[in-house]
Amino acid sequence: MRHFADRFVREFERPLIQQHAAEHPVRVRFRSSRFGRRFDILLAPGTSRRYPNLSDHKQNVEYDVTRVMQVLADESIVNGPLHAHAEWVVVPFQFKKAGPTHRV
Amino acid sequence: MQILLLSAGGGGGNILRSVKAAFRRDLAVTQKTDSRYAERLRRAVTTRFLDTNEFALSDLPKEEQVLIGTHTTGRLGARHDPEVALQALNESRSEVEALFSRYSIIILIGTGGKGTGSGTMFPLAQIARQQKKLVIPIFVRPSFERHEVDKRHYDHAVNAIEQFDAAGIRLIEILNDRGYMEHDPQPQPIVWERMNLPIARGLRGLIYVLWDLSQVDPSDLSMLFAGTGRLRIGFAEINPPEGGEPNDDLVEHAAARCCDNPYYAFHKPAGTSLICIQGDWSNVVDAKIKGRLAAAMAADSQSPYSPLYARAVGTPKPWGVTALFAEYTGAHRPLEVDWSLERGVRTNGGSYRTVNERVAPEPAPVAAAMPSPVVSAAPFPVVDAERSHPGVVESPPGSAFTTFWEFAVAVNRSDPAAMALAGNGATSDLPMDGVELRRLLDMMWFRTVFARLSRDWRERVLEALIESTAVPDYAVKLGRQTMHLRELSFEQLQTIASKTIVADWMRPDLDLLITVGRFWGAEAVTRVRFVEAPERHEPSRMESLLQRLRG
Repeated sequence: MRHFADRFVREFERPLIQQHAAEHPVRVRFRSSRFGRRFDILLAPGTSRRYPNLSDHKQNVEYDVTRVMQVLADESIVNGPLHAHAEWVVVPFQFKKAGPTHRV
Repeated sequence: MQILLLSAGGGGGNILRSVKAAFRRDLAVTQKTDSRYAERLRRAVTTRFLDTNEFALSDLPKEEQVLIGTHTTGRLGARHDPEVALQALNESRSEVEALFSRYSIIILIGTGGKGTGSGTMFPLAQIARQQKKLVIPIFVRPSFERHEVDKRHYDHAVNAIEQFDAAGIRLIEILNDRGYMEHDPQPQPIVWERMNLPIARGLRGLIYVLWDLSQVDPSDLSMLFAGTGRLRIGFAEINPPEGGEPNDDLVEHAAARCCDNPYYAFHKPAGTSLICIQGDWSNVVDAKIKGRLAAAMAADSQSPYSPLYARAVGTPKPWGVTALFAEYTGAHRPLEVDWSLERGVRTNGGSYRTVNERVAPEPAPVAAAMPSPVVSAAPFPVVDAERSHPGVVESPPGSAFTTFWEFAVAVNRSDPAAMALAGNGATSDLPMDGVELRRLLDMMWFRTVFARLSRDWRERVLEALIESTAVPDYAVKLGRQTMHLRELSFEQLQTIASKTIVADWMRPDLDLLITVGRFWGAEAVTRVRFVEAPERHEPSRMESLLQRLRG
């Protein structure tokens, strides 16, 4: 889960990083459910940034999440609809349910 | 030096239009003070607008349009898709390669707005590099946070920038995000003007340095542009009071402005950089400018800042300082640049040279050694070479130079052997070729060289020129009178050159006479050899008009 979250954030902020800039362009939080099947990555703009937010960049954030999921190509995890929580954009994830097992 | 300014796509085209307009405004000012200089400046630069969309080029003169991929796009643009733009470029690749082959320096301007800029900027730079051209890409990273583009197109732009970095091609990256200042909001046209003017002014200064390469060693340029990282161009005007020197405040302010351009991506310390100072003031002021610039770039004994200085002597206003800073990203193998298109340029292959070894050409102190300085516009420094270099006049070295051109270039660099020869070597057996001399006299930098030559040298150069050149004694109109060139005074020749329309075939000879007057004084013009002018039927105005219509 943590590994996935790290990869997700790294790819999400990659195009936003201006060469050699010291500060991260995005602030990040992570939270997970008690049993670990669901987790959220919370994203907010870095210092003097305006992205990501859902108030005027909803389409862009949706595009970006889809883009990152395609790059990561992790079929065990799916993402849900985005929503806002205060200044944060919440990107919900959950592990795919395992399909029926067949006994031979 | 032939420099190509090429835009890619609509956004790049808009910037180039703006740069061109600012450049023209400067030229108009220059035209008033020195029309020959303005003409040379104008000829040094070619502007071309590359696009996939025919409509976007429709307001431009035909010769400036470069429409690519007509089969791929149907002349309708890249449909906001960089991949389509790349296909269009591939379709027209041979035309673009042919265009590039005619220039030594290619300045590319594009934005990551929609399709053509993002899709073609990097491959265009690659084509230029493959042809061993010196390429300076200027690329705009758009702001998606301020809704100039959507995130998808912004990512295309980022992809193009990453390609430059991966290929080790330095670029000027302009960050449109920085144009939105919450604490000082401004209308968009003002922001664009602020972004584009330093490019236009900076290019003007750079073009001066680059157009004949006598001021900088090509191998130094090969080092400046080598490796990855960003470049930053800056210009600050210095306008001293009439007849006076710029004071410390003016210098301080100019240095700060030159270094402080908030729109450029530039995060590392500056390494090898090119500083061009333009203005007729003393070397004391030059030294202050250099010092303040170094301070503004936070240079100390540990920093990698290695400025290459070029001095534009006798340039018309606006005066100031132009800088091209390169981020220090380590030591890199110098670029291989093919300067073979430029006559008289010494190509130093891949040789390494410490930039600190450079001796910047010092502005020569003014002394009364030259015969009557007739030209008031664009005066150039005059120096008595014997008095300037008292220590080296005794024993001129043997002929270390094979041509007069080579010797002149070395004098311009303040090469000690050349300076010694310039002071007292007029009897050396250095061959002088008339054609080469005429070409040299056209070079702006030769003014500095001339000022460093001893009187004997100047006399020898004039004699060689007179001996090798016979001027056809054309009949010209002066007011209502028809006179021959041999009958005209230097002042009258200048009047004709500046106030009348002179036929193209007569212009080079008229220019030569004026040049002789400028360098050696009005009296020298009377020493020029004239021969009978060939019979020439000058077309009447009506004939000229008809000819144009037929053409």
